[in-house]
Amino acid sequence: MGPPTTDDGRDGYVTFVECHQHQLLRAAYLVCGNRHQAEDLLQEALLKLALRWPSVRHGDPAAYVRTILYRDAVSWWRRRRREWLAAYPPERATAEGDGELRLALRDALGHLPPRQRAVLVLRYFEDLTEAATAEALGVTVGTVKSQCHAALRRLREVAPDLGRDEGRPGGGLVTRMEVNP
Amino acid sequence: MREEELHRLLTVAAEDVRPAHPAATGWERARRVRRARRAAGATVLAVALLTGGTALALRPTAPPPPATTATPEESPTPHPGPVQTPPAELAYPGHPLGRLGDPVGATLSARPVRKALALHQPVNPETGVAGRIRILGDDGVVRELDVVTPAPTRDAWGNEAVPLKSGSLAPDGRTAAFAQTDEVIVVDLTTAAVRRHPLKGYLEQVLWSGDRLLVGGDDTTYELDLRTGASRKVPVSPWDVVTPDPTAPPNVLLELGGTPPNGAQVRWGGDGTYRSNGAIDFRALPPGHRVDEFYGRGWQRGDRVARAGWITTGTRGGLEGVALLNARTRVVTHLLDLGRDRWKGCCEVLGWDSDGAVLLRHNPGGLLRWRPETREVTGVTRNLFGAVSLPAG
Repeated sequence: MGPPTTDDGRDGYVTFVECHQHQLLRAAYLVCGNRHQAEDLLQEALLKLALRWPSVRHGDPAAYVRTILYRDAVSWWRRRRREWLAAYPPERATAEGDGELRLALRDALGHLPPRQRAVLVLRYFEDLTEAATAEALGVTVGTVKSQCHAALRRLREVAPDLGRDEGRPGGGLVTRMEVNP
Repeated sequence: MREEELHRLLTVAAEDVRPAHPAATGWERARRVRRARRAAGATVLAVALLTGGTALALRPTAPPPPATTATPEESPTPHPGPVQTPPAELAYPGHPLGRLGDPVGATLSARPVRKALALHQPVNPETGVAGRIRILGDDGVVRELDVVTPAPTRDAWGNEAVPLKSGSLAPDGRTAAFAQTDEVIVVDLTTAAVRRHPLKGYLEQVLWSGDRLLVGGDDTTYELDLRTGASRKVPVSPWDVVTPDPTAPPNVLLELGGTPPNGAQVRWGGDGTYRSNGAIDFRALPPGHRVDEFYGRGWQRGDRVARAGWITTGTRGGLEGVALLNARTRVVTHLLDLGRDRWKGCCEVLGWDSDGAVLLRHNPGGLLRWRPETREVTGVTRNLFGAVSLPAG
């Protein structure tokens, strides 16, 4: 017989975090554009999750922590909108072109208001539906549609070359950004 | 760009971002939070049982000193080291601003101030809900601003922020200003009179240049003459312009910003605008020490400017810190290393104390004094959440 154990939820929490934290961190990074800030946001969200774990563990903890993370990210950027953080240490373009792409996309996302960035990341990085995106951000589906449309239009304005097929020899323009309202 | 292409771009852009903490970190932090809450609850219960709830509510936690100018102790052995750190345990020797978190004792309309030492707008750190603006007078009494309720500032995209900015309080402590959309509200704190000056745009920032008021939004900064109500555009960024010394000559302002950081002295007059740009010089610091990016407002006193930033010290990057630099030479002479395990942007500079100490935020609720010449770092107050504005003079 093994030692007695108490199910305080720790094991379940740790398993959940191990499965989800990478994706959540990457999403936070895309929203705020800074690795350290993304880590701070994630850690704060995971702390809140741990404090509420007994009540959310049997529901949808992923949705719960995602809601915290995105709303905190938008809120943080509302407060510090003008204090744009460059990623630290500064990222450099790599010979393979991915670094250049990262910089270009990060710069382009930096031209968007925080909620629009959050909408894009939820819709096109997390692949959430419009309804789930609206629920995560606490807004209406109509707001998600309009913000998404505005974000894509803005991306096209500030980074028309993002539609190019980067990394190919010659890097020819193969498509333009298409906006589907 | 098609939707699937955007998905691929986003995936590539973030693919090398990896968690830096073990999965159990949040659980262990939560355990400490629960334990602290239980201890705090037990303490409150014990005190309440001993003293009675009413006495507890009215009793100040510590007797603050008289609300006069600061008289910090002189350090007997000043050290000229350019990179400094706060002590592990902060001392709180007492400071007039320690009363800033006191309960409201009056309304401004009922009891205007002779001079305000500070403005404070509480913000609940859990909910983000902002409270009413408070005024600490030089008599040590906290008033509530009841004659006007400035709206949150907002930009064209609807992003909002509390109306109290670090530059709201005039250098003489007698006037407060609040940027609003299409106007600026000016409150005479000595009479509680309110004036509204129409100015076009989503105005978000406000600061004082002597007795002139600078108000700015996205891409426009106005200089407002409060006596006549006349305004003109000035060629500086409302986000990067440094709050000047109140005695500085007009038409000369300093901007700090950019990555890597640079400074620009901006002069303007009838014959045009002259801008003298240059990189920030870190050569007075040990090798590898620098400011990577400034944040918050910069504050000038004489030739010295203090501003918070994200710094690198040797091999450690991403640290919070405060830099002290020479406004003319752009040489950073001192760096206060505040470490990493803090809220991002924790430590905005709020101005200068009367004895030449830098006053700065410290984590979300703290306020510190830093005297670079003596390496002295002391606490002023803690658990004071929200926005704070101190007089620039």
